[in-house]
Amino acid sequence: MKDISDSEIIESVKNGNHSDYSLLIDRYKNRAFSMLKKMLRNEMDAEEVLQDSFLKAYSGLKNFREEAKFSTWFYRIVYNTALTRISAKRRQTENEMSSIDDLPELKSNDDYESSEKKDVSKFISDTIEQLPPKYASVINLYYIDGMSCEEVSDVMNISVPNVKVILHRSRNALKDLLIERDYVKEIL
Amino acid sequence: MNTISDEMLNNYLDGELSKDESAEVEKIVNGSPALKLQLMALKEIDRSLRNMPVPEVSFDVTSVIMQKIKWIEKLKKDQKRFIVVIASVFITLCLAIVLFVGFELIRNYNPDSSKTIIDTVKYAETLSGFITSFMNNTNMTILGGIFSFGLLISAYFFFDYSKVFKNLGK
Repeated sequence: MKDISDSEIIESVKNGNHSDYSLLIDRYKNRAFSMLKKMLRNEMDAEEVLQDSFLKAYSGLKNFREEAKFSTWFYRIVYNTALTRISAKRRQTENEMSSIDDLPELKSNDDYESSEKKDVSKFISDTIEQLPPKYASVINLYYIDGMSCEEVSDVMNISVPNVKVILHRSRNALKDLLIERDYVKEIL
Repeated sequence: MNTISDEMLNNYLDGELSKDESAEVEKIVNGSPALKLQLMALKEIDRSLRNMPVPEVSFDVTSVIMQKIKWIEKLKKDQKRFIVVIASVFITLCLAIVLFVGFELIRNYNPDSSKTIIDTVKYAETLSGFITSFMNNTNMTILGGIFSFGLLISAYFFFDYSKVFKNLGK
């Protein structure tokens, strides 16, 4: 099943084989869920938005012209649906995300385990949970989905330089935290 | 260039610098333990993020979505059928009116007269006379009432179907 391309599956669904849509769901559900979990910081909301996104994509499939990759088109739906959910839940989050100059200071959650340090990877994955939705989306699309900066900019409707700025700022914030917590000595 | 900005380090990490720029960065980094530490930290972050585990959805989301899609398809079919029924009723009603008018005209038409322009004018007069008498008739009011009622009922069900269809994904 892995050999079937997205386009072939879409063609089949358009031809009336609705059950083939499950192949696309299986292909994208976990990565989309990962992005939603980081954006919404709530598993239940992430699951609901994930279902909404897949249903929206299904309804819009007949209008999908394959000018863009399905993944880019689908993640745009996921991203926008998540933004709608966030703004519905908390209006002020909209302002929070409208600028890229607002990366809050990341904090380490290590207080509760002062005697025992986490593994570096665990520390990083826990810390990125604190990133604002826009930053979390860029990190997820770039690293988990392996998208290029151009593709990420397409999905999020922001410029490529802005994607790079967000990416660099996120990494720099994590880097400062790693150095501050003496994790780099372990790496060396 | 004695120091390197964070942006430059990030660009180096992403392989976005030219060969000369990269060589320059490497030279400066090798001569500065602080910069070396920063680059190592960035490399570790990059490696960790690339190998970050992808969380799995805790329930069988595929089945749930496919179930909803089944419903959507069923509703679409029902909606289509409903529209066809409404359209058929409407067309039948229109056809019945046209047939009735035609029947009345044929009944009032004099077959003995030859087909001249005067006859045609007479025929048109008969038609307008019939329509006027039909419009003045109280039956027309009843017919209009029934027709409007049918339209209202259809509009209600159509709206209801659309609402259910729209809310299905929520």
